[in-house]
Order: sequence, then structure tokens, then C-alpha cells
Amino acid sequence: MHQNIGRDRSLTIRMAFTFLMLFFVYLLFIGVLIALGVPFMFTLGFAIVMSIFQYYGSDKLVLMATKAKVVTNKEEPALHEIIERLSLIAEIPKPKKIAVMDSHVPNAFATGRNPKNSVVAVTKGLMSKLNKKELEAVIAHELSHIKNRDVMVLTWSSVIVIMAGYLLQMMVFMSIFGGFGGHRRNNDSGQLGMIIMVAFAVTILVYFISQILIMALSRYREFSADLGGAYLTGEPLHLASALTKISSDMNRIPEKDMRQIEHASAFFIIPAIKSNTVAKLFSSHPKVEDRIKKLNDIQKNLDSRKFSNYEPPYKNFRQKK
Amino acid sequence: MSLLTKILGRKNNAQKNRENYFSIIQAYQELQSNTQLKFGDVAGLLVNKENLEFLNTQENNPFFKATNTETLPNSSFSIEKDDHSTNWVIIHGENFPQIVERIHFAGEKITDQGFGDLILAAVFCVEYNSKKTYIIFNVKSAQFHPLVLEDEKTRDNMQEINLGTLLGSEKIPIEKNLELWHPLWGIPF
Repeated sequence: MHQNIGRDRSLTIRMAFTFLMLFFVYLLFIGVLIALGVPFMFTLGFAIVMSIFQYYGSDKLVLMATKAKVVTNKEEPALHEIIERLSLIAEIPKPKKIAVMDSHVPNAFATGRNPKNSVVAVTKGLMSKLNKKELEAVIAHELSHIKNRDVMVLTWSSVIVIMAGYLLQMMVFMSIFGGFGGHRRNNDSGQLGMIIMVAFAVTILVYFISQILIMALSRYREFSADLGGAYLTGEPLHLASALTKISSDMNRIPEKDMRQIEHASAFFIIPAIKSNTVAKLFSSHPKVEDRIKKLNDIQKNLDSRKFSNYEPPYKNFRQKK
Repeated sequence: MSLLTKILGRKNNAQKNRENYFSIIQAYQELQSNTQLKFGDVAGLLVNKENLEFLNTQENNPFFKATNTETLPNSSFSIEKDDHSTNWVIIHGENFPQIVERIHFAGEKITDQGFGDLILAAVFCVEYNSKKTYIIFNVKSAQFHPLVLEDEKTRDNMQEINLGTLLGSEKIPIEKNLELWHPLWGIPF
């Protein structure tokens, strides 16, 4: 599970595809186990183990899916410095891994099951297209996700969804095979095939409905990370300007040569899927305009507090330095 | 024109594409005199074919024939291969409208030889805000899009959006979907 600040359709599609495929593979595997007559409790235990494995391995999975490369302090000293400094102010340990993705689209995400094992990744585009203040604002936003333990919350909600899916599927299978011992009592293959199909259809439906709910939760937590990040740097408008840059039309312009597209066009299916209401329902992020409006409100709030000698923590830290 | 097209008054695709292409000549004068866009004297036709031998042999060479007629006086052309297994037919001219005409002429000749489907784009070399810039006409979509170079391998998206708006304001059909503004790296002119 990940949190990213802006929208990068190809990244989102890749992530969604990875998790969806993973989900189907689990489902298929469990289905096969049950069909083979493996006892229910064993299958349930296996499902729990798999979920725990996914929970602990989610950071590696996300890094793999996004092709992010972990960078050392030597390779990216400026990035390490910003993350280290902001982590200190946020009172969280410096993320275990800092990674860079080879994409010109400016974007960032944070992942990891807890602050100690967290990962922060940014794209090359983010580093080149944003100025230092904006980059800091985006990283502060990501660190807020870590501090709020959003990754954990969202991962657990997903695990619960997956578990619900398993249980539902198993219950349907139980009605066919009967009892928790998994003894067959009905070998009518036509009826069996029908019930298996219904079981899959219902499970997939449950999965999609749950995803809509999880995404609503994610959108709410996104606002909360904006707020946290804004107070961390004391400069919400830098996050607003970073968001404007990230979401602007500029980032839709591709880098891929027309000739390469021409050669590969036969295999293209993704461009046919355009953003629509369905995509909005599944969107993990609120509208950028709404976020910018809220950031402006935070700035107003900060301004009014400045009159009463309020100094944001970030500025204090800089003065001490 | 089919009866249906006559009734509905729709233009056929070829005619529409042709109009789209030549719209750049109509806009040229205004853009050249009143904007930061400076038109050059070279353009190219990108052909997705490894070998354009037929253009090189003197006897079949439509350009060779044409240079000796009134169709293309004082024209010069060359063919260059690139790293993408594509070929460029590069044409120089005395002024921009002339180049637009010649590129179209070259396209027609290549089409006559049965390779029309392999033409990917017509590319015009210009200068925008003192930056090396190309105006690309995607033959398949019959729409234009800009490519403003920061350096050899970097494009200036902000300037491209500005230029796109500018060209659009002069009624040049600009590709609306920015995700299709694909660059062409290593243009040999």
C-alpha cells in the first residue's frame, strides 16, 4: 500500500494491477486448495499467513512495482538531508530506505508498515521540476503519512477486505462441499461450475465495493497529511504550488518518442481507458483544487497566528541551525 | 464523394487532413510577424521504412524530375537514416510556404510508390523564444503539436503549451490530448 501526493496514471494503474493480480492469484490458489478437499481451517490459516507476508513485504512489493531504486546518502545527499531534517522535526525516525524512480512525472510516495521501517520514494521529475521549498513541502507531506501511520491503516483495511473475500468464497464452497472437514457430497459438475462462478463474481464485487470505501478513507487521510506537512514546514503555500506543478497539464506531455509508440501501438490497451466517474470513485486522492483551497486556509490560519508571535516549528529549527 | 456525404455535407477524411495540413500556411504570415515564432527554411518527412532507395535512383526520382520543372524550382532534398530504423526526407526551400508545399509533394510521391501508410509525420524546423523548436504534423491524426527543445534530450513543456495555444489561436489544428504530444528525438536537421 502506498501514498502518493499527485496523480500519475501509469503508476497508479501499475500499482492497482499488481495488487489486483496478487489478489486473484491468492483467490485462485485458495480455490484450488478447497476444491482439492484441503480442510477449511488449514486454508484459513494459510490465507492469514499470506496476508501477514504481504503486510510485512508490502514495502518491497511497492518498490518492485514502481521500479524505484534505493539511493544512498552518497548518491543523493540533498534528498537525504531534507528527509533527515524533516524527520527530526516530525519526531519520527529517518525512513529506512530512500528511493528514486526513473520517471519524468513529478510524484512521490511513502510506504512501510511503521515509521521505523518506512520508505520514501520520489521521482526524478519531482526533483527536477520542483524548487527546493516545494520539494521539502512534498516530502513533509509524505513524512506526515508515515507519522499518521496511514500505510498501516490502509494496509490493514485492505487485509481485512482480502480476508472478507476469502471467507465469503469459502462459505460458498462450504455450501457445496459441506462441513468444515471438506468432505465432498455433491459431484454434479454442471452445478458445481455454476456455483464456483457465482462465488467468484460475488467475491470480486465485494472486493470492488471495499476498494471504493478504502479509497474514500485514503482521500480523507490525504487531507490530513496535507495539514500535517503544512504545519511541519510552516509554509503550506509551497505544497500548494508543488501540487499545482504536479497536477498541471505539463506533466501529461510524454517523453516517449513517437517512433517507439508507432512500433508498440498494436499492444496498447491502456490509453483506451480514459478517466471517468469510475476512476474518480477509485481515486485515492482528493481533487487538487480542494487540497489547494484547504492549504490556503491553513496559510490564513498561520498568518493570523503570526500576529500573536507564532513561529512555525520549521522556521525555529532553521534559526537554531 | 458519396451520396451520403453530399447530403450530410461532410468532408471526406483526405480532404479534411489536407486542409488541416495547409492551415499552417494561412497562419504563417501572422505568426511570423507578430509573435516570437520564427519560421525556418528546412523541414522533413518521417518515413517508417528502412530503405527509400527508389527516391535515390535518378531515373525514378520524383524530386530529381521535379527540380527541373516548374513544380519545385531551386529545391534541394536529401535522405537521412536515423537510429530508429526510420528515414527522413529533408527538404530545404526559399520560404516557409514553399517548404510546406514541397513536403506535401514529397508525401504524394511516396504515396504513389505505395508507401503512404509508412509516413509518420511532417516536421517543420522553427525557432520559438530563441529555442530550437519543431512543429510536428502527425499524419495519422492530421493534427499538429509542438516540440520545444531545452537541449538535445530535454523538452520545455511550459513553452510547448504556450506555443500550442498560440498556434491554436491561429486556427491551426492542435492535438487536444497532450498525452499524444510525442517527441521525436535526434531530428537530423
